Amino acid sequence: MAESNSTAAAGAEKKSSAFRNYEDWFTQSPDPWAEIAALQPGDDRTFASTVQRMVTNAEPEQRAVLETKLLALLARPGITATGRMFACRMLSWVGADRSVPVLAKVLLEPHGADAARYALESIPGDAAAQALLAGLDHLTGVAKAGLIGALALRGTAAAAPRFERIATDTLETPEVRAAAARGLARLHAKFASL
Amino acid sequence: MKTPAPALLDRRTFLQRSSLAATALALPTILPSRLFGEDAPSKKIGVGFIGVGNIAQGHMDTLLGFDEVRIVAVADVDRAHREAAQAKIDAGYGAKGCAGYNDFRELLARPDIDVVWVCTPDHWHALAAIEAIRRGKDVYVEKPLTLTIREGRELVNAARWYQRVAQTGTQQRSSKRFHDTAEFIRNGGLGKLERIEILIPANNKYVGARWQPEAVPAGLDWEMWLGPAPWSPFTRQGCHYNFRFNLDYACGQVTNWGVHYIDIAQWALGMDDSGPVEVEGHGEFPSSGLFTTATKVDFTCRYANDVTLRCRTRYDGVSDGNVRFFGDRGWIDVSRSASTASAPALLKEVTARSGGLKLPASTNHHDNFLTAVRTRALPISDVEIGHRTTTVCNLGNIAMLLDRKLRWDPAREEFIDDEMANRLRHRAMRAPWSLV
Repeated sequence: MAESNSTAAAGAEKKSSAFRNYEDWFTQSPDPWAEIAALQPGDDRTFASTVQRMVTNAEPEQRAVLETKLLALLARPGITATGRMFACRMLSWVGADRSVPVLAKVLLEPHGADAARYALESIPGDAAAQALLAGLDHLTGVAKAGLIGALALRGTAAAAPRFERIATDTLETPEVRAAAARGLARLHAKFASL
Repeated sequence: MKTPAPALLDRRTFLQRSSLAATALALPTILPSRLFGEDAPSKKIGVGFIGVGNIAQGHMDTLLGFDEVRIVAVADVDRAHREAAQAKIDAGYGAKGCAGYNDFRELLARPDIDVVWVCTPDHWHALAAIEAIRRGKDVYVEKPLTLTIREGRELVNAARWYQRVAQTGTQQRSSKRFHDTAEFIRNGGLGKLERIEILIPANNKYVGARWQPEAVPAGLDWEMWLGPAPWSPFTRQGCHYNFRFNLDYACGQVTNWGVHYIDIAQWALGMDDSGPVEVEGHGEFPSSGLFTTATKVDFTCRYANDVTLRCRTRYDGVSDGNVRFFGDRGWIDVSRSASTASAPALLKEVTARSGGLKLPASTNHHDNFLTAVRTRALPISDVEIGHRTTTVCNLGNIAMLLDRKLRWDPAREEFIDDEMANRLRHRAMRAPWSLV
């Protein structure tokens, strides 16, 4: 039996204000990528979740299309830290060599190193390794220690001479020197797997 | 305490011996007091706790009852937790002296600590345990052993490399009910095993589509709490206990409850150094809000012998899990509260323990670990066993996230022909933290 207009209107009135706010927000957002770029902690992340479902369900040939869109998201002016982290999280799953130049730039941006490394560390191959190695020339302190750990965990043998120098460089922080010493030991020990 | 010369059995030897001659290998559940006499390497095992929130309380209570143990220090990034734990331990010993640290690395620098209990949120397990092992400590690591598959393998490798004893906090292995059931299955008591079904409690945490960052409470070192996880502002609902329902810190009920019952299934299957060859999952994940772990869990693993293990959310309000084994002689169901079966006679057969294969036995998970610390034998829930069980949980979560059937090579610990799934075995850590 069809619902009468008056009944439907009464039902709509009964919707909670929270539901109406959510519904309004959803229908007034013509560009989901813009919404993701503007994400702040605690915001509704429905659009981001939708993109995540697209990424996880994409056929291999569709992943490059999604990668392009994620790189465009990453390049949006004013992207928030939350939006950037989301893009990098997705690129850690689906990114390939073509993502590396963009991520290499983000790696050197203020507060961008952790997000960029989140993606770069998962991308196999020499291009990502070279981007991480190049970051050693620019990053300092905590971020540099993280970079050293990533290279060591990947087993990037080319990093060994760099680690040797860093481990004894008194201009580096103790934390960075210790990370380099551990990285060197790791590359030589080779007890890693996976 | 002087650490005895490392002489840990290798994993395969241990597993072979435990299958063939478990009676001889079975560790005594109560150590004779002469082992702690004046000639013993030390009269007390020095213990440190990393993380003293909810889950650590029972461990502290238990260890305070062990004469051969002395809890000498605790580390926690929440001052309130830390000071409460110090007070509890001092009261337990009737003397002041338990040290407290914000940074666990300071605790690990103490030479009087032989053993470390890791009771942090899950995203810290691997880092804290590996660092403890590097410093020469034996470790008891709460379940799930680690957050990711890669972390688990790294932790196992570290324990073997440094020859440290490492126990996983899947304490159902030290329960006679679960032990006897696993042994019965292993002896073919149900005939040909067909399938295993596991029910776990529902994820009961939901605080709406949006949440608000809050000021960090005084005394909480939020940066250190986050540690290797991606940066996020503090919110009370997402911190203590509830961290379990955020994929950056944990894996939801799959590793909160599921890990206990999957562990028993792995034991009954004889898969302590292996795992399934296929997994398929269809879970439901919240599309918004604070929490990100599956609200509806449903995944099925298939082992090489074609036995399937299905783990799913229960909706009957029971706050416990259970595991039910189906064979061609009927079924047996075991939980923490009861054992049931398709025929009462089956339960009598379980307790009769008439099968020829005897699994390693322990009736006290703490005592079993401390005995292993003394003897340098492998504990009942050795780190490799914990890693393999946690891996099954992670396989289920990855399959649900990807919503497709995945093939798994348990020897190489990699998915077959699925690069995205393989990437989900690991995730980068926030600087400066690293597994290296």
